[in-house]
Amino acid sequence: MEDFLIFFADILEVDRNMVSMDTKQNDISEWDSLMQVRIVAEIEETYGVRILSEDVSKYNSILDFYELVKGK
Amino acid sequence: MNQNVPKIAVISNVNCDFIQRDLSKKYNMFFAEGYGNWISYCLLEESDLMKFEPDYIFVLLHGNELFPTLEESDETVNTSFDYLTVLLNRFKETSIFVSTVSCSIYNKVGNELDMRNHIRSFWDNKLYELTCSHTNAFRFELDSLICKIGIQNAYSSKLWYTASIPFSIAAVKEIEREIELCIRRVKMKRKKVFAVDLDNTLWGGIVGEVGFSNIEIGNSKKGLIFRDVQKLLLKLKNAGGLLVAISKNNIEDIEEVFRNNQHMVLKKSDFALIYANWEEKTVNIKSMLEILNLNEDACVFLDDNQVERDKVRLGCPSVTVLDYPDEICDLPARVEQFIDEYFFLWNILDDDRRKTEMYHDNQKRIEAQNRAIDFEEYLHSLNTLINIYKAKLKDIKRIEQLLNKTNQFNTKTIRMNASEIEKYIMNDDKYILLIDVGDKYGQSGVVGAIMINRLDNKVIIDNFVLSCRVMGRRIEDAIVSCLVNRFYDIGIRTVETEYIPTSKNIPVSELWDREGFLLDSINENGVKKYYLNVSKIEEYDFCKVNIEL
Repeated sequence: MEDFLIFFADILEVDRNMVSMDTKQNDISEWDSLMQVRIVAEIEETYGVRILSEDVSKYNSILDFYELVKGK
Repeated sequence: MNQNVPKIAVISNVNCDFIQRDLSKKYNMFFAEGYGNWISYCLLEESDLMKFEPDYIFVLLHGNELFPTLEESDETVNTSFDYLTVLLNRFKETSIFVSTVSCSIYNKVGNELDMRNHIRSFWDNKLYELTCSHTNAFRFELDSLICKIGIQNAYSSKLWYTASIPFSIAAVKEIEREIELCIRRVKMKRKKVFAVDLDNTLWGGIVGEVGFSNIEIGNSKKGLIFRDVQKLLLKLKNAGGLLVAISKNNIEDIEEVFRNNQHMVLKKSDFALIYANWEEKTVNIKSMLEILNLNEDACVFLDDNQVERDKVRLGCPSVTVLDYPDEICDLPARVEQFIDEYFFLWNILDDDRRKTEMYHDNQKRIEAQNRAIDFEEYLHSLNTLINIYKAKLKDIKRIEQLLNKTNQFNTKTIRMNASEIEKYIMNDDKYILLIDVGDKYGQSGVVGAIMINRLDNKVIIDNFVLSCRVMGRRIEDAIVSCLVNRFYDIGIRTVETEYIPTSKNIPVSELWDREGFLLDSINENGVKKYYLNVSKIEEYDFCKVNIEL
């Protein structure tokens, strides 16, 4: 879990302390729509999962993404 | 951000936001407005890019976007290079990297694949011409790095259709690495000598034990590994690197390998020097550097023996000691990587290709000098021919090397970059004379430059540089005497010049006195002003000088 938070903070280019599992898209100014696309691409390439393009907007928090990659 | 941090702009025909964001952590980045508008940045006379004054511009072009249809593709290539030429001329102080083109399409529909290949090679040819004709233009190997990670991994349809970014995250990271590598390379000081062990480094086995015919070198298996290593080193030598062999061996055994083993790629003459003795390698390295007149930091060293490597690390701390791989099959790739890292060169000039030969020619001159009874006789025996001619734009790269690398024979040590040199040449009152020297031992090439500023019947010599390659042959005396006479012929009556001292140009501190110039003044910094009232003087007869003014 900690690894995932470090990975996520790194994509957002924010300090690790700025994020937790409850962090939502609205909480972080850097997390704009282009960043959302980047997060999806980074997660797909790192964890080998697929997120359908029509589902991209359904992932609104770090936890949403974590649920997807948990156990990968 | 700190003033010394490089200023970088990435302009493109697609969205490069990720690259810009990532690089902005380390560099002063230009953020393009919107995306895909590389053409307006090329053509706009006033743009925010101009105000940004970038040190580097990277032009990344995605083939699919550049050539939406394949019809009239040649036309598109030509127009694109027209745009790029405008950009290069507008940003003369900026190093501009232009990408090779890549396409994400790899299926074969009709003759599409052939057409794509045609575009790629046409683009490559135009890019080659562009880098030859513009000193601030460089290649960015986008296509090669995409091949390296594979087309399927390099493009992302999801990023393309959701954000207009064609590249996958993996490709974005590769592109960023390549951009950083390009910046390092522009600033890099190239190494000059590749010092290499022989047994188990250039061939398999120990020649002193198995004999010249049983060492492992050949066209298959382990022998092929060493043959490939030798091929890489030969390529380096032909690109101006000096090879030096340093081996604990009997010289007779080594001579025999070079003479009689037909599988050897490297010949004895490919090495500037060969040390085969039982001295410590650090002693040989120090002797080699003294003979070649180089510092330790100009040298890399490769040896299979860990103990030898450690001794060199300790004894010659500024020599770069290369790691030898555990897996012998990795040796050629490792050597290639070392060459790329330490000896990279954007443009190989003819003079670079002949470095080793020039060094050998010089050795013969030294031997002749030792044989000759007196120096005058030696000078006459060389049959030196000096050609002096006005520099043209195509000579800028060589002039840049001469002005910036020459330390000893450099009367004013004024460093100039390519665009400053171009401005100087384009000025109607100014010109640069290039000095090409050859003798019976070989061509030394373009070894010097004189910067001339003419004002009616007066000439100011703005700088005089001569490579240390030809120092000590009184070439400067022959040049100055002929030049003064030519000046007289074209109506010049006064020549003025200066000597500005540095820690390294002491060899020319008395040059102008020796050439008959009169000292006008000397200031507190040691800057000496000279003048000469021009009259016909006697020329030296030990060499022939042709001057085209």
